[in-house]
Amino acid sequence: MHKPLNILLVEDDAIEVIKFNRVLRKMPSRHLIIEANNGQHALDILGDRDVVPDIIVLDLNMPKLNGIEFLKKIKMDEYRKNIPIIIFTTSSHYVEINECYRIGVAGYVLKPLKHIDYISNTQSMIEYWSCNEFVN
Amino acid sequence: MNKSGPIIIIEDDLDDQEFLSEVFSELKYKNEIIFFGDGEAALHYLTETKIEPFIIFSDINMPKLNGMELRAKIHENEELRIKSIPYLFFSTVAEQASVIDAYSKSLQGFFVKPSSYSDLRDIIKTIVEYWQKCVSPDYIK
Repeated sequence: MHKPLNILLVEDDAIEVIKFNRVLRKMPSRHLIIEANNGQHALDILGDRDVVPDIIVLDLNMPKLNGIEFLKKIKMDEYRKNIPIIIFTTSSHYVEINECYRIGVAGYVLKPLKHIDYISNTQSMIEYWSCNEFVN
Repeated sequence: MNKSGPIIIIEDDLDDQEFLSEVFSELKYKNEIIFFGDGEAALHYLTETKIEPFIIFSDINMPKLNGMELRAKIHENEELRIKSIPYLFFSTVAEQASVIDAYSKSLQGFFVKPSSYSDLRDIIKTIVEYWQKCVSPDYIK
């Protein structure tokens, strides 16, 4: 039932990248994580049509091109607009949550400060998407 | 997102309705479970009700209004769209054409119904727990 995922992780904080990798390494499926350290870097990676992530896990506050700017750009890209995007952020601001759902996200998950809650939220998100069917 | 709102299941197969009913009963979520046998009845409920549902599970092949058509109608309806109700396809098969069509309608998940009861229970648990953890704008009419 659970399938390994190709995940594009868009995250500028190196510690957050390490935390995310650690949680996924302890899960039963071998997920592939492609790392981008901001929205522009993610767009550059997606410029290569051979890179086909199942999902995009997106932070919001990043330099160069932030999460919402990236989200708007990807939703205008005919080839990439249907990839499920899950916001993974510490921001619980109503305006950002509202804007993300308005543009179109497949979930908005908060990064809790307590590590045990961080593990729980991350695992829940990955388990959910690894049960999904995707465009091949 | 109203996490205590009803869970809507649109499913024309009565056996599948029964299995799902048993699973939700075993999982003991407090949400009311409301079944519809076709998309038209579900759309009528969704446009008329003052209650904001938590999640919509939708089959694809159904009489009157199928899952794809229902998803499109919800997405085109401003009143319903701003409620940000997670809309999931829960189908017997996952043909690539259906998967492509489904994701183009901006849905929040596409799942194949497992054939065993325990797998069905596990997948429902995974789905509900994910959406319980997600945040969304509170819907204010």
